[in-house]
Amino acid sequence: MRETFRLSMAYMHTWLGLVLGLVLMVVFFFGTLSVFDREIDRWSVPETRAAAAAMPSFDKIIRPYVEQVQPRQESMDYAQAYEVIGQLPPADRIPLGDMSAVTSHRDPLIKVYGTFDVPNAPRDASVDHVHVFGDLTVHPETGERLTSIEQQLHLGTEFFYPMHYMLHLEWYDVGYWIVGLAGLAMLAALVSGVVMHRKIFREFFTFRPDKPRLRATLDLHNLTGVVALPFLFMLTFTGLFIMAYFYLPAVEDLARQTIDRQDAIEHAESGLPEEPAGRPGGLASVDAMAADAKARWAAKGTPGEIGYIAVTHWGDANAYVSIGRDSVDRVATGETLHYRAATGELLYEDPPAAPITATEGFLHGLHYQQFKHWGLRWLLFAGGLLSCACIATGFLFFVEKRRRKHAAAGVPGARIVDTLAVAAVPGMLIATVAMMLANRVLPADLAGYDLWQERVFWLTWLATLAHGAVRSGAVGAGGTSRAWGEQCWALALLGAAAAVANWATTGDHLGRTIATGYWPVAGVDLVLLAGAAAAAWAGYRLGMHGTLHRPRGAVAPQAEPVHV
Amino acid sequence: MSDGILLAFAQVLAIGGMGCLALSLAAHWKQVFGDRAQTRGAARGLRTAGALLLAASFGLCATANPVSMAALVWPMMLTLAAAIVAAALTARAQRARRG
Repeated sequence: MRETFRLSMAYMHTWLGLVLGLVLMVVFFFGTLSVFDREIDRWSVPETRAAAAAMPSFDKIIRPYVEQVQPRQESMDYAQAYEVIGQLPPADRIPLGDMSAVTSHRDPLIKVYGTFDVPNAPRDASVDHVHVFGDLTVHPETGERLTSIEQQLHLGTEFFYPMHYMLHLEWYDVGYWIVGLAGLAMLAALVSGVVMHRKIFREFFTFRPDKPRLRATLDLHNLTGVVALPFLFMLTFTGLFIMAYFYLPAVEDLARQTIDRQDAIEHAESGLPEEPAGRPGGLASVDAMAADAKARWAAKGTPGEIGYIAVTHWGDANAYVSIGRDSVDRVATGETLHYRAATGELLYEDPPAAPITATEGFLHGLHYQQFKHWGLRWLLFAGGLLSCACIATGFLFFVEKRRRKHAAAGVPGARIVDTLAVAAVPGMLIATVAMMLANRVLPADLAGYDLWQERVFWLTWLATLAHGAVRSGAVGAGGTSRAWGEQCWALALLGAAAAVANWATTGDHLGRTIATGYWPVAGVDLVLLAGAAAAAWAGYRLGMHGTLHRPRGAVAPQAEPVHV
Repeated sequence: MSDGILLAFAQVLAIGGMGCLALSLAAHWKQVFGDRAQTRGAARGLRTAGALLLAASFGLCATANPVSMAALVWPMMLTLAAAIVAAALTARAQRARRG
């Protein structure tokens, strides 16, 4: 019975991993990059390479821009296509409802966001209002609006990060669903992986690269999986947890009335108006409210900077201002103070979080990682890389186990999976680095500059898949695909080229960025170069032992590890 | 002492702790000490020392950061420490074989 259970777990582990491993590789790799998404933004949009700055004066610098925020065209198009009945009014006629200004200890920019109240009736009867959204970017010190970069693609937050949770497949939100399915499969793979592992403690630290390749691959898969298990489990779980309301909207839909009633009660208790009054109202000095908020945080023993300022019901008599702390020193996001906009008197202070809210906040914060802790940030980056290694070696083990058998039987299975693994591992890295190189070498005034970067990414990735397929002949004969070594060399060249291109186009070479301590850009360059060096080493080793499976000193063939 | 130094010490303790736990396993003991037999007392001692070092590592994390933050920093340090110990043992075994 025990062995049957173990075998059925192994069976599930193998096939779930095979079917969704490619997606998991993408999700974990781009999740790992997203740990440093703001830093990649600095690298890819050189105009924004400045030191992070505190929230500037709202009254002097931010307020004049609030009226300039307009709904973005994409947001208008989406609302028109899916959400409202009838024709939307022109963008400049839709009134601003709420606004917020946001910054953080990693941002040298102030983002000013607007939420606009659409007058049209919603198509979905259970929705009260439809909104459209817009934003603009302000330089925190000079106070000038950075129009030129507002529409420019920020590689970190706008390409790599969305890739992590929706794969850029917007059609019917299919990307979100695929990622959710892969996350669920990952949880199942983690549990079944622990069940099927025979010597989880005895071989906790074991990696034997000199053993036959099948054994060595499994060692590495087990090692990375076991040491990164807390990371793998918590990040997969919190990722699903964050998206739970998207995947299971029934809770919100069915409980709509209860939720609305709860909202009304909470607003009544806190004294924060839920709806606008419909009469115009003034806005007192927000700087004074900000100073008051800082004084209150300091008095409580948690002094800090301002992370965001939000005004709800902008310009209305019921307007109120919320001031939130940049929660640099804790995992969950922090406490917020609310002021009456017209008078600046304190209306309400968020109470200390109840246990359930605190747990939810911790689980969200653990995944969003907005804290200021560079050591932890690098540890999470390392955890992400270990996870990628675990997924990649899972693929390799599948191929390794079947390579000879499929070659003998003339079945293309191992060859197909090997091709996919080539595209998923070196191929994906090549596409990412090629996109970064394109970001630097394409002229920024090129028509469709952003689109071309995205095209470079997708086309390069497709090319690595084709290359993997063409060069996989050896796998069909029971050997190793040439694509692995060749793509490692391509990656090494591209990685070095991207770092050099950054130097050539901006003058920010490592000597300068390290000397001036500008770590966002220095860090990206260093990771590019380290990646290039690792890829070159891998390419060299693959070339040297084109058939790595002949281990030094190994004599009798080992019994194969028993897995499906 | 600055938080950075405390955390660096915490990482060192985690590596030491993981190293002790690895040596408490017969296979790795043999890798490092060769034919010298591992007594039951030694194995138990190493396990205890390993656990104590890991606990001390958490103590340092919780001193440097709020506990809620340490709850995240410490497991990640253990992950890195285990990977480092495994890599060191592998490198040692390879060197010994080529030796």
